[in-house]
Amino acid sequence: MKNFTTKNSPGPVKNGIVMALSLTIIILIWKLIAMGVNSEIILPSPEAVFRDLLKIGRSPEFLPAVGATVARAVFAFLLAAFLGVVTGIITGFSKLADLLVRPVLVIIMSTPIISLILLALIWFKSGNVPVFATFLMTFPIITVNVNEGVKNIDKGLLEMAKVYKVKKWSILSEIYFPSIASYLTAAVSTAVGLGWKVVVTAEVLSQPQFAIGTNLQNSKIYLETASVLAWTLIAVSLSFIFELFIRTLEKRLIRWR
Amino acid sequence: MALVIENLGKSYDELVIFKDFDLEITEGRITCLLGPSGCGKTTLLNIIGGLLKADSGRFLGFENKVLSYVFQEPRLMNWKTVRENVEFVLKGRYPGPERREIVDRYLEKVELTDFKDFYPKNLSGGMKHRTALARAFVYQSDILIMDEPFKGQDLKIKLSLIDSLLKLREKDQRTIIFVTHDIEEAVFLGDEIIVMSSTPAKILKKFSNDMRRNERELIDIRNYHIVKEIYMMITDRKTE
Repeated sequence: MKNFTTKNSPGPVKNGIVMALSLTIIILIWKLIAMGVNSEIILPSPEAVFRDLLKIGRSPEFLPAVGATVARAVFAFLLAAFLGVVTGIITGFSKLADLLVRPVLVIIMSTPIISLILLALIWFKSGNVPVFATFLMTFPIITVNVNEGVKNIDKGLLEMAKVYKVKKWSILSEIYFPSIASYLTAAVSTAVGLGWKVVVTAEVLSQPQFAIGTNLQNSKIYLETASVLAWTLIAVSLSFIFELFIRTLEKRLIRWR
Repeated sequence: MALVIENLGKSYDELVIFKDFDLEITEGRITCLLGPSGCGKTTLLNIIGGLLKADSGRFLGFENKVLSYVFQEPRLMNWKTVRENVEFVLKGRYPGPERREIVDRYLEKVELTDFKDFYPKNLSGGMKHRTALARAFVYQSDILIMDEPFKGQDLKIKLSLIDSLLKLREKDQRTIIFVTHDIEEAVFLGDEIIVMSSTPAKILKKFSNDMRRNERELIDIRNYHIVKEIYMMITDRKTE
């Protein structure tokens, strides 16, 4: 079998070098500003942050906090993805369902995240607040995209399947699902990026016992800015790992592209 | 045996496409339908194919007939390989290994064996059309409907597609209803050529081509009189 590759795409090594260079420049600028500011409370130096990062990594609260935050995020995403796909498919097929659900989605999408978190604080236990807020922020993104996916299905393919008397299940699994997959992966990618930020924000406000957000808030209270930045770096790295995972999944799902 | 359509009626609001339209198609032959744009050829195919409902009419001989359809565009699923696209229409009809064996046999006939694991994005236009042809033939139909399947292809690709079509049909004399704009293509492929008028459609004339298939040529001086007559009819010119 022949291989089709684009000649102009730079190799992974070259990409890595460019990205490492960009990171080095950021750290250098950070170091220079920190030296100028000369206050560990306002802007700690990169080495102070990395020191704290190592300290946090070795501390007993690290794994439970990261584990609990990841579990909340994953649970909220999975719930939003599942219900979003189901709602998106139903509203894609039924105009009535679409008309019923659309205003709810618009209201949720235009409500400030902080209002949702504050309401959730009143309604739920602290550990569930981030799950609720993340679910509410990501569910509409997935629903709307899947709905678009269903509506934009190639009618020609459906006619072809009809003429050849293909079974309904095959039409659903082999025409509808793959058509929706590209819309879904785009939605999941956006939802994960946003959802990750919402989980941590909600944790800061709801203060569950184990959470990255709780540690961020505690570090802030004690004016441990280096620790705030270290926990932020942990959150960013986790978000990056999530993104990488989604990209890999996307490549597998739509490798025909 | 013949497939007969009687008193077909079909309108879109004010536009009457068919009114008391009759058509007879001989089974086991290739019938080409020719006519000006918008005369209802595709509508007729879609009615026969069950994709559109007629307002009125009787269909005799179509009962229990299995259909396959080659559309103007190949209508392939981009997420499936050539082989999977062809296999799709046999799902639930044969067990997996047998299904793949059948599909591979047909892919060989249309010279796509080396490309069976390719996705449509990596195929040329002609290859995509050949995949659609293989899909139509692998499906054991009684009637094959073809709606301008070679439209917009350059002459070389068109000839290779016609070649594939005839090769597929060698041992499989199924009825083909073939719509085209191309008079030479119709006269070359058709055992019967039906010329339709503009809407409301009527049949202007029916020609028979009894020349043996292996003696025919796409550009054939022996058919010049038929080609000219059809050309005059379609363009509304008077014959001298």
